Amino acid sequence: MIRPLLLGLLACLAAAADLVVEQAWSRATTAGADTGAVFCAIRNRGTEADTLTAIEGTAAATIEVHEHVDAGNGTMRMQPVAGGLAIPAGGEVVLKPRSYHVMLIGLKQGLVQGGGLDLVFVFAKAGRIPVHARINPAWAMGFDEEK
Amino acid sequence: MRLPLIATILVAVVILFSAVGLALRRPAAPPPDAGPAPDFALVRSDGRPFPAAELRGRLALVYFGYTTCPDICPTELGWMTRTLRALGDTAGEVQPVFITIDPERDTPAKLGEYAALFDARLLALTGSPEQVAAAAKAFGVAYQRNVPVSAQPGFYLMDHTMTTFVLDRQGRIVLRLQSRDRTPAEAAALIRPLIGAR
Repeated sequence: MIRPLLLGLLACLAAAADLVVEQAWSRATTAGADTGAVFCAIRNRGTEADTLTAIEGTAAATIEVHEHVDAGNGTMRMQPVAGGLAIPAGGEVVLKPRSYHVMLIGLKQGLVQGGGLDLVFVFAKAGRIPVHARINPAWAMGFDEEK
Repeated sequence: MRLPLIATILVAVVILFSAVGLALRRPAAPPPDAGPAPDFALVRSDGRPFPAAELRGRLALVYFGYTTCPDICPTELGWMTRTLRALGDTAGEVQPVFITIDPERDTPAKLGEYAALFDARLLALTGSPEQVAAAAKAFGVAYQRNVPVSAQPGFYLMDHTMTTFVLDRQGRIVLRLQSRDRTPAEAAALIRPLIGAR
């Protein structure tokens, strides 16, 4: 009776442990800023592909994963990734400047350098994973600022 | 019959590569055909008018963007301030400039606060939508509103050119740079000879 329940629980835990979100960081904004961005590395140590379907948090009214596309005429456009962000089995997807990023729209308050930001990444298989992002200077290029 | 053809091709290839090599090694001196200096009349973050002529006499790094820009603008402005740092003592000869292409949302005060996040020297300029459009046109900068499909109502982003323009002391565009193509150290190496050229 209890055994299948336990096994199920263990399977869930194993799936969650397969997905790791690391080195999450953001950039400081002005006090009244409307937008912000969060970057991180998502590693899938499992044998099955997974998909980042949503990101939740109280920091902003809308939170989306965005990508950069060439909008022609030498201009760049940012737009939501359709259908979620695929994380291949045994692979890694890095959200970084000029590439994928978590877009915070309608910030409740400005992001202050030295502070932090709490989000929940929702994966199709691994479920909900809490992520804490640290807030680097506005000019930072990576988790370690200068990278 | 065959041999001369191959020889001709070889010679052509050698000439082509030499030409490319020479072009790449050419020092970054102001091209004589730099064209007229882009003219504009904008407004500083303290509300005072800022005509293009105020940049004359120094070099300038000019980037067009907007404060609601989540990634590209902080990336390019961060690259610009790193380039200034790479210039070291001579950075004072170069005025960094950020011009908004979103004057509806970027008030002078908002713009000033944003620029200060990057570098105290960064001059932030806005203006009426017409003034901004004229300035962008003078530099050949393109921009347009982009409403992401699933974002909150009323929200928009801007598609825009990512170029950083280097102006000489006469205000002429002498270099067009992008952070994805060059490190700050490489950009500084291109700008340094211009500082010496008076």
